[in-house]
Amino acid sequence: MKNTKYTIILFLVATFFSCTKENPTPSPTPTEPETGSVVLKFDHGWGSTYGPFSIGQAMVHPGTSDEITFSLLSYYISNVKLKKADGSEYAQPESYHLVRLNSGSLAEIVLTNIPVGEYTGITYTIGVDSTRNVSGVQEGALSPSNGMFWSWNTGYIFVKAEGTSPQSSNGEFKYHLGGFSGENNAIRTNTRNFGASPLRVAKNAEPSIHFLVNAARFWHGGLRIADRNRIHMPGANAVTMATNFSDGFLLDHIHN
Amino acid sequence: MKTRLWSLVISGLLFLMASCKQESPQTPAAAWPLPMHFPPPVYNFDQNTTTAAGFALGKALFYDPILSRDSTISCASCHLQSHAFADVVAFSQGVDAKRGRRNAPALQNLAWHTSFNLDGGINHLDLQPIAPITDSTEHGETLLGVFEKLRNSETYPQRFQAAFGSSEINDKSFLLAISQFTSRLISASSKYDAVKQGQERFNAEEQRGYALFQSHCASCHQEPLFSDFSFRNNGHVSSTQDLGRAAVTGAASDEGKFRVPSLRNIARTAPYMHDGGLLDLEAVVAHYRQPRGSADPAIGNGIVLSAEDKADLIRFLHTLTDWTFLSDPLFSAP
Repeated sequence: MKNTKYTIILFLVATFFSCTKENPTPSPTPTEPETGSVVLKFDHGWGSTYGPFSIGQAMVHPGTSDEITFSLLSYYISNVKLKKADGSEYAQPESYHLVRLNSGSLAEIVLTNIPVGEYTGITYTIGVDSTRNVSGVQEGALSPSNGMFWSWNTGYIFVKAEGTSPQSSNGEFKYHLGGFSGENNAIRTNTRNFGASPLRVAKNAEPSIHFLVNAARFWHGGLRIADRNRIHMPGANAVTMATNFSDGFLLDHIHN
Repeated sequence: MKTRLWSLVISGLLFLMASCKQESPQTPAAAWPLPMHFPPPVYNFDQNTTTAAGFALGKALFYDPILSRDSTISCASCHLQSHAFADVVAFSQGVDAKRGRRNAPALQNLAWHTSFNLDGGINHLDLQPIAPITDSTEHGETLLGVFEKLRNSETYPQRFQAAFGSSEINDKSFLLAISQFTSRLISASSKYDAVKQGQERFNAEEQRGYALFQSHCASCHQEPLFSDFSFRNNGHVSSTQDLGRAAVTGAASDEGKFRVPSLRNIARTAPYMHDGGLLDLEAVVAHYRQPRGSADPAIGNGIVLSAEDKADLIRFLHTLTDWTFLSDPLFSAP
């Protein structure tokens, strides 16, 4: 009798262990480092003086005198790193952000969970690293359905600039810049130092970093719309234009 | 024969999984075996573990015309199982009765492919479905449009829940589900495979054909997958204006190059070449007698075969037909 009971218990215990999902043991909550947010503001201007610019408004290019009206300007800002005075660096994990300018001149992205402290510089990439271009389907800002992705020639469109111009043979321009390997690599990384005014990240504050972005830089060096109104794949033209665009990012000021 | 057994094993596992209530449908289908005589796959199954629910969902999506703008075209409209998931016409018909620009390729052993589309423009199996879904001559739809329809359907949210533990339908869950099906379209049980595994023997003609294949074809159509997955110009001059590989690399030297296709199930995938311009295997073998244009140096001045050689070579090619794969209910319309 005792044996039978014992067997039944054993059986029940075995059944229980074989069919129940193990509950993960709750791990002790580690002391979370205090974090805050940082806003990256991109104020788009026109020409080296960063004059007034707006989506949907006809602009005259200072170099070529072409008349240009943007309908959209989108680009990836990724792999953001913030530097401290002691030389240490905070690299934001999963740092992929899509800047979309569909109207006006101002766009912004918010970086969350940044450890509190004082930072003296920033490094960011315009584009998407090659790893994420070759690793299959991605999520969030990198979702292919965001429209910044080539379906027929795998890779992210790092920068998309579209609009109209009477100087274009078909009345429009479409620059889709990308390319992540070899001589077609159009990934551009900028480092900017904050100088005398460091960025102070605090728990209940939302400091911001203000950039001025020169939208006229796509035609830097005298490129006329009549000569090139379309870039739709990686190559030398995309590389040149990505470099020009990247060089038009000016760190304007820090707002704590 | 091996694959039939393999199908049975899988069906058994699926049944066991379905019958054990405690088992979550997300449980891996006990490491579905891959063919022993194949090299390791390129596709990383560890990052998208095949499960019964995920495979069933992927298959449902593959056969569902909801993936096209007007719900008229599914993946299976142009990829027919009985023809190794190729089409029987040169250019398949998409939405609005539009015709595609290239012959629909067979879908088999995709987990061993290093690139997709005949020009190799797509670098990952998971990303491949985006091209036909968004092409105006194929499904003519957008990803967001597909997601919207799937979210509003009566069954799909539950099926995604069962497959991935979340009913959310997005780029990742949608594309991983399709890959769970397409990565398992494995053809490895032709007569050739049985011979290689010592279960069957070639007859005399097939044996001679195999020897001819090895000396004239195998450097590009490498065994056991029957492709080296490189891009070559085989000297087929087409009436279609198609840059081939150059359309994605921009290099003039890549003009007219296409990925070397596998010869598995070749007897079932007519018409041949990127434009479906050759109607039967006789025409294909004859083509290599006198390749035109900038043909790959591997072809040299052409492959000269006697009438008997040609017949033997074609007999060998027929041993690559995998009747199990072509009719396996595991891959058939749900």
